[in-house]
Amino acid sequence: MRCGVVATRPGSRSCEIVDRVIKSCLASFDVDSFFLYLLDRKSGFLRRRRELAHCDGLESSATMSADEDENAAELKIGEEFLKAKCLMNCEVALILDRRLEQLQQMSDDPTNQMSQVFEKSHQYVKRFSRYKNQDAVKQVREILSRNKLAEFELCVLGNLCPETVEEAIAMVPSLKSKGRALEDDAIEKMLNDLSLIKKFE
Amino acid sequence: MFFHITLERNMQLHPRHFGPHLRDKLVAKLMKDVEGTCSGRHGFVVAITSVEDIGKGLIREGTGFVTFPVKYQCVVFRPFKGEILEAVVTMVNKMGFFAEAGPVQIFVSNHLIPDDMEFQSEDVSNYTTSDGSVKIQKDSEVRLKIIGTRVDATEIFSIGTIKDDFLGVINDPGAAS
Repeated sequence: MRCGVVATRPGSRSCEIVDRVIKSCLASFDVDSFFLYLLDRKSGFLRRRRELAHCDGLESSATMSADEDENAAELKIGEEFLKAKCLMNCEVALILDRRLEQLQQMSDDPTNQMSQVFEKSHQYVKRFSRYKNQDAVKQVREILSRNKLAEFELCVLGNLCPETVEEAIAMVPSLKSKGRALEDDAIEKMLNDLSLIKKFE
Repeated sequence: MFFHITLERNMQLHPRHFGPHLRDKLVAKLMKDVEGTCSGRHGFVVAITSVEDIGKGLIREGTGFVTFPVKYQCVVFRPFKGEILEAVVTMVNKMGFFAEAGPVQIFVSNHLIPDDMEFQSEDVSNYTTSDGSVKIQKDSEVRLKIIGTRVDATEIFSIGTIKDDFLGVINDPGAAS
């Protein structure tokens, strides 16, 4: 039976998960050998954990804890979605509008082809998209991406358009997580730029 | 949150579709099969935006059907625990209220509505503060935080809260009450 120990930076948030994995290993199996890994990135850690889970038959406990750990406030949304491109409501609105046009050209009666999911999403993004024209949407993404934000954070800010720094941090708590050097001033400037676009749209 | 992701699927195609329009048929079938579905892992597939790659087909023994591995990009909607988003209220009752964010249903229990808001069963049932300044009723727009999700094979159902800073009814785009 093999079991691994993963050393992370003290105080980092993966320490907690590591503890749990180690405990479950110790509780259920005898330990033959330990691997020592210095990792500072959670993604690397998760990959490693999955490998361990495979070779040790700990799979069920590992996948379960991966689900339990989901928390968008700490940017724990799974590797797959973290790497994926997020879309703001206004961008989705543009995509779905175009899609609807395409379908209308293809057939005379587009309504019965639309899935309920499509329809509901379309209504939703039309109702909640802050920026209507394409150039504004582009600018918003550009401004937000200047600040080294994760895709997910970028889109939450673009969707909710907070007005104050305090509000922005309440909406996206990971802005102020450890190891991020994002100053209040930088956030404020970003929010001001966003509201300017809205004004001149 | 909406995402743009790449997914893969094995498509089975009947031999009668083989011919010059094979690719079109395959794409049309993919759209019909996939759009509007929901999986716990990826959430709701809203729309396919492009087909990246269609692999080599494999004839299935006995039936003549051919299986093609297809890689496609699509827009998906997946709610996450801890995510803050805006939603439209669809139903209000004394247990709490239901709201919809795109295809996802979100329930906000009355324990997760601020204590100063009371349920009123007038002709349009609603939650109102004691001074009457804030009102939640059908078709109100609220900003809420998702605190839990339950995933079925075909549906995602979420629990939300508005009992936190900067959450609640949106009066005016950009400002939460």
